[in-house]
Amino acid sequence: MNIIALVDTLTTIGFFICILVILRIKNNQLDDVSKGFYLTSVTLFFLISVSNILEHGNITTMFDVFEDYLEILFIPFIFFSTITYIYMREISKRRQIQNELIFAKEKAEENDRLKSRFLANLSHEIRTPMNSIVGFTNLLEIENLSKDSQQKYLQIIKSSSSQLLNLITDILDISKIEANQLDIHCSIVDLEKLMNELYTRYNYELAEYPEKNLKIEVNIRETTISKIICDQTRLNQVFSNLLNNAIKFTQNGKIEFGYSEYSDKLRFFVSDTGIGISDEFKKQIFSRFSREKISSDTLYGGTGLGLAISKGLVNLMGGEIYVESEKNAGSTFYFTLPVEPVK
Amino acid sequence: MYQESEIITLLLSLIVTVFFVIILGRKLFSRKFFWFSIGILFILISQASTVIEGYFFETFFNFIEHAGYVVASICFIMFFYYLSKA
Repeated sequence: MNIIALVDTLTTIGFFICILVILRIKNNQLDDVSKGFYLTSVTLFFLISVSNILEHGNITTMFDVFEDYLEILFIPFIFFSTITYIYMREISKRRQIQNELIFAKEKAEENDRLKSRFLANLSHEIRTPMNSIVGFTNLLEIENLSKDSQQKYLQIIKSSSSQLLNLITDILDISKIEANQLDIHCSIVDLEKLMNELYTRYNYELAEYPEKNLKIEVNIRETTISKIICDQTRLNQVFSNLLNNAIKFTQNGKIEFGYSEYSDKLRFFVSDTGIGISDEFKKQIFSRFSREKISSDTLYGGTGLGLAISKGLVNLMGGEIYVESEKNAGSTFYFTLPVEPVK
Repeated sequence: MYQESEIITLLLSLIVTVFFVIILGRKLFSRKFFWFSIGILFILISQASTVIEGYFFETFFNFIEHAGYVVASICFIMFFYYLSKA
């Protein structure tokens, strides 16, 4: 008799633990409806067990009256709970698949829209230099053209050709990055030398924009590292993309670039006092073909590939790129590289 | 002696079990519902023992009945535990 009482006590404890376990199950693993049904089923049996224990002590309670009914109800109820659980899980799975499909569809539509916009931009970007090349080549055929005019036309053809070449290079780069076919060739890079070269090049380039009141500065902060191992060409390309953008979107003030130590990485930066970037656009600024506004396209040329290429290159070199910016208050682009200093 | 309610409970449980096994099919025998199915099996064993004890080996089958419920409760703990970890 005592053993049976002990066994019944264990059953009661067992079903009580069941109740506690069910209560602890998170909502993403068991929906509220199924949880409610399971709780009811287990509580039914818990009450039966309590009633059995009380019977051993000759204590009669209201449970005794209902015990038989509770026992009859238990199996149907727990099966019903399981059916509900399976059904609800199927529904949530279907919902999840539905949401994923909607997301994929929206993404595909967005990509399609971006590609259409890119093609429209591309045709404009290609046509402009091509028209210059074709037009000025035709002009060069005119007889009795002065030597000055010939030089001027040749200069325009040269500039348009290099613009076209840059565009094609960008398209090839982004295609290679997306196809994982771009290789990184590491070598020892003298950062101070690279910064000086960039400074000289862009200081010279600023002279081509006399309408802009801009100055450029190099700022190397709190670091003793001057040489690292990375891909110099790609590092140069990332800096060039960021500096070109900084010049393009800044009318007055200054452009600053450089690097500093950032935990076990080097953090490079390019900051400007330009038009800044809206919070909304920041989310997609590194997506390919994205440009802030159609209206600004007419003001600022480009295919919207520079930052996508930069992000791809930085990621390939094992780093990260991000931006801090406020509208009309300038922008700072940071990118980190996990590099080992050369001693 | 057996009680009518015990036989009704057993019969109803068996019918309901067969009904749900047909509905749920293989799912009930999947790894996820392993402990659940074992738990149900022990509840049925206990309910059958309750009826059998009225005819012979009363003490033995009475023990089987109560022990079956303990095992069933442990199986359900395992089932709900794995459900929470799934």
